[in-house]
Amino acid sequence: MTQTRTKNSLSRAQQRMAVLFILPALAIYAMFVLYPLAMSLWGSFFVWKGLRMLEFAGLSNFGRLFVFPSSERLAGALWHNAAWFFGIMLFQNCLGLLFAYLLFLRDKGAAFIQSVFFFPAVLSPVIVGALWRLLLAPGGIIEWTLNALGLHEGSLTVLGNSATALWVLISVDAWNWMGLPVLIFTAGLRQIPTPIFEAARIDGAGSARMLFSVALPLLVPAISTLTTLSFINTFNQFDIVYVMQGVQGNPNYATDTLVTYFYRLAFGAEGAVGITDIGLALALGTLLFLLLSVGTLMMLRFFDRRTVQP
Amino acid sequence: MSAATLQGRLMRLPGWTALVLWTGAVLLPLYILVVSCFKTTAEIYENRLGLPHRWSLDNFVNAWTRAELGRNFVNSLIVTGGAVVLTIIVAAMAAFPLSRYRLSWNSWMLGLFLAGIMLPIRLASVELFTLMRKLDLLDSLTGLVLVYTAIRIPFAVFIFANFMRVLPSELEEAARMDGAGEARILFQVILPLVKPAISIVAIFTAIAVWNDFFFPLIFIFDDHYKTVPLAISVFVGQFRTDWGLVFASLAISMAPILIMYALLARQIREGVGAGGGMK
Amino acid sequence: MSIFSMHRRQSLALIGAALIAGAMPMLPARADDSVTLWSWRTEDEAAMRRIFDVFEKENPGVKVDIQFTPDADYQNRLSTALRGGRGPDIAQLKAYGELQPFVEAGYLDALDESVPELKNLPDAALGGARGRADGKLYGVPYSVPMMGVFYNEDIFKAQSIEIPKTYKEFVAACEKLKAAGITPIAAGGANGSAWALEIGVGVVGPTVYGPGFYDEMMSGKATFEDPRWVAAVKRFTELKPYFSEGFAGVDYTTSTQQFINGKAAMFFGGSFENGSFKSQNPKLKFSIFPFPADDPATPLYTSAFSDGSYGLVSESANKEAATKVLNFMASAEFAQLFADELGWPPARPDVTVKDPVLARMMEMSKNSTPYLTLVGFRWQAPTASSVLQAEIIDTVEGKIAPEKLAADIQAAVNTWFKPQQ
Repeated sequence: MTQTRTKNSLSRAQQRMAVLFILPALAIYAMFVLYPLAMSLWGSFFVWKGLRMLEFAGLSNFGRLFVFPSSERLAGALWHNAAWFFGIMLFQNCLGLLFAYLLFLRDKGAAFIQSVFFFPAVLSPVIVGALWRLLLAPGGIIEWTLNALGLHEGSLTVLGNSATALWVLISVDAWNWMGLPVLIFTAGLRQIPTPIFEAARIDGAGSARMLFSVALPLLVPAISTLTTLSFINTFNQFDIVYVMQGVQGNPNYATDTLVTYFYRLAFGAEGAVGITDIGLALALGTLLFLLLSVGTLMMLRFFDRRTVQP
Repeated sequence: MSAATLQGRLMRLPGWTALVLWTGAVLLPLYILVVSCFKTTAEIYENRLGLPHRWSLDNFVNAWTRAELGRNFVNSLIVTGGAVVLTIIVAAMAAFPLSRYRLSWNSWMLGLFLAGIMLPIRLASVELFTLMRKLDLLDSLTGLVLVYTAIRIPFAVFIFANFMRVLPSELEEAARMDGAGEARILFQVILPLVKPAISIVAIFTAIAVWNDFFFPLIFIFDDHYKTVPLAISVFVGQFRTDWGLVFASLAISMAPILIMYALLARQIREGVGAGGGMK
Repeated sequence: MSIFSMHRRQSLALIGAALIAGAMPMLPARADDSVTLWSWRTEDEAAMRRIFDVFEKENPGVKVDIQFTPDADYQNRLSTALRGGRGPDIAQLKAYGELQPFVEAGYLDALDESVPELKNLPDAALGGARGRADGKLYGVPYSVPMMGVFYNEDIFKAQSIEIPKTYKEFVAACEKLKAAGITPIAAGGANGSAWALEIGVGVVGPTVYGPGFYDEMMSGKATFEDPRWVAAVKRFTELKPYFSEGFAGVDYTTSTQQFINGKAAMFFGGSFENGSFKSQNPKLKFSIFPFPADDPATPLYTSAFSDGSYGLVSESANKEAATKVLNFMASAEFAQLFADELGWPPARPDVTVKDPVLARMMEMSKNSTPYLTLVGFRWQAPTASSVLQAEIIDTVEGKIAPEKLAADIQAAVNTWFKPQQ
């Protein structure tokens, strides 16, 4: 009896302390993130003329999003974001897992290599973009190297080619963030108790089999984090496109993403500066918000069910 | 050397090759970046791979004096420093009860914070601007600090909560027995144990804030309050064809972050993995 | 106490004060007659400063504070600021359709009464600064750029090439240059600079579709699918063999460098290149000619447009001084300074031209037709320009047929364009 009372009073005191501790963060976050975002979502239900909000429009902005000409841009951007996500999962996260495993099997040099791999993540998108534009330009170093190796002939125009530009940007993004999966997977591998690996080795498993049948199931939390983060980041992709291809997602919208399309609608595009469609932009923003929250929740739930305790 | 170890080394060769190749893929572009800072534009176009004809600091001196970066550096340091410190304090305070108290509402509160990781805040830039104007926070470094802190809070709460959750509960129980208050438990017992989390939050907040040019662009009008990326973008626009000068100015603008990375590399290596892999 | 330590203490105090001042929310202290002017022409910073130094000398007490934001971010910054009521006193504004959102939102003052000098400006310049609904003037135009073929005089002389009079001669000249290992035409629109290729179409276009085509388009008699417009695009794509090596991957900046450094003989561009070419390579000897037509007897027309204007922001707290500045910008004196400092054709033709390239350009612009995609079809999204810029690289590369490009543009503008009857 007395015990429950002290527990209750402790928990009431804790409640008070908790509120006090959370309040500063919550106040700043609610004021400068949640409130403006909620106001923007609200704006997607209104008619906008230029930069002014006029009368209530119901769902008409959303309707316009799905008819010509917006429908083409929307479908294109959605596909590019999806391709970006799968490209990052493949180039960055699978390759990152492989690198992490190789580092896990080696003690020498692992720390140094990890730090090198992570280094590009520190650079600003402006630098990454300028650097790769210079490297990939016709007559640039990559062209020179590929020609010298006999892998390619003539001028390299991958950034101006609508069939390859998107994949080039995805590769640059993977280059930029490769260090993240490597760090997360190496830490995950080190948390797996050594006896599990030893038992497998005694059973005659090779390095490759140990990775796939022993380590992989135990790495689900790391995979979950990376998949979710990659999903959020790729569907918010803006910087690399903006810096390397411009806000129109050139050439021929081949690198257009949902956020670059939003940006053009909200702020006006290059080549048509000043002509905005804020209602349509906010409707697109709301759609993106729904997509991200539903997608993230589904992913987290999916991985939660598959988490195995070692 | 025995045949077995030789065989073992040969088996490891493909793995090393892959690792060395990627190391090259990271270091080669960075090498180009560094040597380009010392070259003239003509040299960059003609002699892309080689070392510069002479190691001249002209580009750096020119970039520094013509972009007049001194004042901007002070501004950027204030904004970045302010945002990092404020983010760490408020996020650690919020993460503490959310990860260690048994409260009926802490999972949805955590969810509310985590939602911020995926919200694209740029969607709300116009509303944010109107708000900043009402609060008289335009042309103000304090305003930038508050906005950046708000944007970085979700990630910081996520990292702190992940690290704090796995600490044994005996720690604070012992401290409570000794009559320590909750604030003291957080700042003197818990925080020193999650140093890797502090490093991660510090470096990621610093990178994001230092490199950002979107919010200074729309919130800062007075030259007196401009930050480095904003000044650099005008500078790059002005000398966009002078690649050597552009790269030198970018290198100058990155210097503080590079130093920070060099100092915190070990904590980041260990912390990012631990923070990301845990659930 | 040594002097040294005192200095150190003072400087520490100073740094401390600076830190505190910087961290405090503060409104900028504003001199009474300081006029803020925003511009996207970061390239012209030095020249603009010199022009306004002259103004400040003549008008003691009025200070002009010019702030530059790169082109790609300017609109974002201006529209956010105006919406929040924190715009400049004077804003550089785009022309035609791109001006209208600001007029419709009521952010700008009409200048017909307050800037009487505007009456002395030609209609070609004023057209871009007019509000569509009320026909009033909302900006002081600064330039009527035109387009043509810039060429390197030294290279032409060394290869003994004359300015081509017909399209055939033009192609022959290109072949000759190519055989000599010189890039005939520096061109590129990669990495988001496809607007430079839209200008290329503007250079070639009028010689194919003729000067009356603009009016036919506006009245709805012709569309982009008209054989004449398709033929203009075809002619532009035919020049691909003479464009820069790796055309699809070359961007605008790189292509200008090829011309400026004497690696390429020609460049399709607007008159605004004049000043920047000169400042980047003072030794470069170049001039400009209109793109030739098939028949040497055809009078050659060039695309021209009003580039933009400077407008008075309604919420300006400093309208009196700002109006003074705008009157200066509409004066013959400003036009003269503008021509001398920047080498663009100024909005007023009553200037003494010293620069031979500028003189040539002003001569060419006597035969001009409106720059079709900008003057006619940049009024509402999706604009003709946005489709043209998106698809032009693929069109030149042969992945999109000119007919398809034309149909795509027409479909896009059909969603909003109503021909004037």
